[in-house]
Amino acid sequence: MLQVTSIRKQFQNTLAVDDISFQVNPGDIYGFLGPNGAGKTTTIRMLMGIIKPDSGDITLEGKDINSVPRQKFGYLPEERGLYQKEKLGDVLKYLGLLKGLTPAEVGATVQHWLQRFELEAYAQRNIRELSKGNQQKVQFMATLIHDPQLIILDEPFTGLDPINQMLLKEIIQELSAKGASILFSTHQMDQVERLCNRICLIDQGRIIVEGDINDVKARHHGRNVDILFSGSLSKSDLAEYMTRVELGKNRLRGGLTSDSQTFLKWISDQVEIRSYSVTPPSLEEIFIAEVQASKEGRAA
Amino acid sequence: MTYQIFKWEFIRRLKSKLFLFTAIIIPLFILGAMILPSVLMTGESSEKTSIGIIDETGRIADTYIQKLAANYRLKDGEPEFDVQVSEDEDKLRSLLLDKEIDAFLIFPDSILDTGRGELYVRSASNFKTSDALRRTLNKVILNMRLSQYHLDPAIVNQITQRVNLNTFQVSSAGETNASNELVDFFIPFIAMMILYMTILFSAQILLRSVIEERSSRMIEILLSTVTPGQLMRGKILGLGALGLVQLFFYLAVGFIVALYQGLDTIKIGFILSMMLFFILGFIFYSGIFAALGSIFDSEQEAQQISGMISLVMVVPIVLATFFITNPTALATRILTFVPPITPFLIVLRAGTSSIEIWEQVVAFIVMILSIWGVLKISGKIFHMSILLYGKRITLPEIIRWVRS
Repeated sequence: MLQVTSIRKQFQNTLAVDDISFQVNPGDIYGFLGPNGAGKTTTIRMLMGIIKPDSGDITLEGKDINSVPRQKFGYLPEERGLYQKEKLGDVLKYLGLLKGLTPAEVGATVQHWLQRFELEAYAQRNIRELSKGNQQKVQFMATLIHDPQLIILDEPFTGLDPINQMLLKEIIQELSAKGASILFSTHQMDQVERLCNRICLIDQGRIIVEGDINDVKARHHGRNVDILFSGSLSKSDLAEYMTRVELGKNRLRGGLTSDSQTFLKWISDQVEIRSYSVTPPSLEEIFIAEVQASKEGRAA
Repeated sequence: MTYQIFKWEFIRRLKSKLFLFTAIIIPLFILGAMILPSVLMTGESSEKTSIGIIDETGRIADTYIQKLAANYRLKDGEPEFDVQVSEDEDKLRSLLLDKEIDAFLIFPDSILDTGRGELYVRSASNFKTSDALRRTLNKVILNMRLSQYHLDPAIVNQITQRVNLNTFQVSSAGETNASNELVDFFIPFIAMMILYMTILFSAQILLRSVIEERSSRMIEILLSTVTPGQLMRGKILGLGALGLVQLFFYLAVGFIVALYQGLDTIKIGFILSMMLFFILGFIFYSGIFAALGSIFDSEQEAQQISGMISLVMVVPIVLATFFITNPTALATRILTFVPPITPFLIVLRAGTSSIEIWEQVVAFIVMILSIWGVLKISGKIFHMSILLYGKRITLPEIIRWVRS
């Protein structure tokens, strides 16, 4: 289990990470979300021990992260690249050895991953001859080759075609089933929605939403209403109860800003309701709403 | 981990074409360039050279032909020069152009007074032939002038015999070696050049290697596995070993050349001191170059600063003549202990056998201390800047890192 407790990091005049705490359990696929510049990469670099937090603790299985052998981590950086002029097989072997595989096992392991990612035919090619998507698969192999306990993936899907995204998703789920703790940072909310069981949303170095993805959605439950009615409504009256008002002749959609019971009482006095449905918001909507709310909170 | 990085850096550079070229082809080329001409020059010719002579004095040609025949012969014992005497310059000129003869000489009437003869050739590059013709003419004219004053050439020859000053070098061990001034200059100079080339070459590879990993972002993957310190150590060790291999090739070539020239002045102590100061010098410069590589985003940017550093390294080469001719001057002694040029001066002075053991020991300590300082500072810079991209790192920032 990865346990992060109250970490802070200041760079000159900017507080990049401000009192962040969360935990990632074995088997978790943990979505680590936030707008650009929210402090994701800084947090991840602290998790990897590349930079040190000014205060707070990071532990893996109860041990301080800096005393955990690096071989337990698998890190796919957001800014990533490979030696261009070397052979694919050679680079993977080198990385496997660096990550603690023995010379005896490294050959078979590299072979296994090349097969899993459908790249066996390229083992003797120079990396620069590989397509961008294939280079990205190589970076995945480099991250996973040593069967790490904690896997940190920073924007893993960018640049992959849908087929390869699916392959990658399968592999991530396999690793989670085997008990790895996976932390997964991205802007692509649909991926998070389909893959993650827990999420953490940070903005300006602080956590604004954290927890089980279903709980998070439940907390925002009832926010989206879709009503079929007969009668007449005015937009100005609705503004008191909801935002993003889409008013048709007999259909009303929008996001509730008030308590849903109060709204239902009020609207049933105004018009005759044919159908009333409340849908959970998409993660993207939650993301936008929360980041905006956090901005407004700061401004106030 | 450091071992794996060491192995990777060492092996992949060892197999590279650049290394093959600089470490093996260049020394072989130097070897060829030094040995081949002397082989060609000393070998006797096997082909006759035809020349023509116009003797306006009418007194020189016979003696001249006799002298040529006596001194220059082919491998099979035949005279090397085939001479025809003529009075018709135009005829000789057309024979020369038709390649019937290789050269012709004119001995003007005034030659005994002016000492000026004329040689006509198709191309002026056959140094060996023109040298033979000139030497012979010189002897013949000199003898004729002597006999004008009724002097015996044999006696004059004996009187004007060149006086030689044989130099013997006395070393502290008490042995005396006949020494040769040219060798005394070139051995230290060449040894220093070899050290300069190997250190600069290896340090430049290190610089390029750091920049390559940074600009390709391979560094991100590496640093998730190893610490910046392990990465830097692995690189310095791997590329240092590569430099030692290169040094070994250069020394082997130097050794063969020395053997070929019949010199036995290269001693094992000298070689060991060269190796030791290569290692120290390389680690010193590699610390600096690794930090540079971590600051700059592209090789072009880094090249400007590394060029300035190479300028410091050039100082001992520019002043080599002074150092070699004044190996124990105060300035030389003081500069021996200035870290960036210590390795070069040690090798230079060891080559002139003018350095004392205590000086080598002090130089060693000076190098160890400055390496400690350089690695501490460059380690901090490397650690801080290796993951900063795109942003120009300023000197005040670097100073702050170093202080922290």
